[in-house]
Amino acid sequence: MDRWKKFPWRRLLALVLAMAALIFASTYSKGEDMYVKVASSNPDAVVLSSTDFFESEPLGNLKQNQSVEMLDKTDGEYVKISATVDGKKVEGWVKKVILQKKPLENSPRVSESGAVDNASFAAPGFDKEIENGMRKESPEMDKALTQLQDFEKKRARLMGLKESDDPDFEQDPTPMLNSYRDFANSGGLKN
Amino acid sequence: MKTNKINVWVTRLMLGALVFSFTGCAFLMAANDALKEGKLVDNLEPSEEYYLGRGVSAVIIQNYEPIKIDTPKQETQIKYLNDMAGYIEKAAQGVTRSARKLGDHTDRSYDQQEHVYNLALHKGIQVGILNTEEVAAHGTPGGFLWLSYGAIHMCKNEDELAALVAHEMSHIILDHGMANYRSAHKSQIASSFASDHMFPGDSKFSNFGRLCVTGFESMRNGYNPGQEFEADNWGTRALAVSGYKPEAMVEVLTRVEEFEKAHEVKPEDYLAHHPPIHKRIDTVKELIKTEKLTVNPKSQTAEAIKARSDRFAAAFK
Ligand SMILES: [Zn+2]
Repeated sequence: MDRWKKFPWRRLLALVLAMAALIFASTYSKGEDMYVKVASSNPDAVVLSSTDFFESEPLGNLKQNQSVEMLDKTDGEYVKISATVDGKKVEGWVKKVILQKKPLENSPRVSESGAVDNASFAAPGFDKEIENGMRKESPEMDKALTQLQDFEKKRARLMGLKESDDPDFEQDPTPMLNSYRDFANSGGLKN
Repeated sequence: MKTNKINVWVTRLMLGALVFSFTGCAFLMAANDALKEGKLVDNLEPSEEYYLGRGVSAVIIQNYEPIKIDTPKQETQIKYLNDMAGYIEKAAQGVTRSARKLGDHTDRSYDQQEHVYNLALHKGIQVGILNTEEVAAHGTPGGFLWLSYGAIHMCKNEDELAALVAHEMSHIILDHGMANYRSAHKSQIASSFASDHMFPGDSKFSNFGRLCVTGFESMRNGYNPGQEFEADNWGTRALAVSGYKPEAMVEVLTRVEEFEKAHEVKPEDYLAHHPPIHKRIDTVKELIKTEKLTVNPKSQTAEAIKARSDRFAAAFK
């Protein structure tokens, strides 16, 4: 009995809990929340009714850093999710690669195995504010970035989207997705 | 086992778990110091790669004039290229990004490979045209792809242009540019004559500016031969899943070979950085054979070929 009492139960329990936490963090599980890591204007941020690029219908447009619930289905590079879009609950398919476990912003990055990447640093925060600060320090860069924004605007219009002077402008990219599909169909590329 | 032995082992395991769980915090502290010193951090979020790509693109368009997209012809060209690249990027999402499966031409650390697996372009791919007959193609982090008229005019049909686009896109998706930058500068923001001239200060804005300028300079120095073979491999697979014939990669590489023979390629030229073309052609042919990459038969009907040929001519002839 003495031996029984001496056994380090508390330490063992703490170890089991630590291992369980690591295992929990490392696996996708049904009902788990994930976060959208790309812009809403990325064509991959459209939730689709199926994983067939040519047949699927758009169900809604996800926002950057929005949380979505993982459902228990995958198909190739697609995962099935449930999300709230414009106040409505939608269930559909998106590409795995646009989701991450943690919300964005200066958080240490955790790899799929649950380990913190050894190159895991706080985000340096390259954003509009940094770009605007840089523009003030170099008239050449300021001029070139104005040209670049002009390119992005014109390209957006040609792809059926709205033009904006704001690189962070959020919009539904469904017209662009349709444009890609028309391109493939009219060129006989559809499988 | 004796109880005290178990005790020792449980304690050892506990210590191991503690060391493991604190690794992230230690690195986080290192990162905050690194940021103050202007070091380049790894694993940028998609929006950060996008803003870096805007900065690098701004340097590219100071070196090569982009088309202004103010004529119907130029609008057709931009729409055509962006449809093509956007479609290929969408179709090729399932193409492997594993260095090993892509022919084992490059070494990626576990973390770099994880980053490549998870790499997503913030706003998708955006293609612009550089108004020069010099052969140039630059893909930046965050999804900007700049093709010169010289590079586009080397292609004789849509499938060859798709091969060029797929090859260049793969440099972006496989993170080749950033990987080179990190290894060349030990993850620090480099400085150069041009970058120091444009950004003499030491604020975070200047650091970012220097990163954009030296990022462009690093890209202009080209990719290494292993990365070129890897880009050919990913690009050829991307063609096949997009419905194009994978042999179009061989054809566009043959155009490059013809171009090299017809022009004296200078060491500073974009083409000079690529490994010997005949070796790349043979490697791609071998890949098509061993992986049994096939063309979508529907894309080979007379009607489909004519449709692609007509729209290619409307844009670039
Ligand atoms: Zn290349």
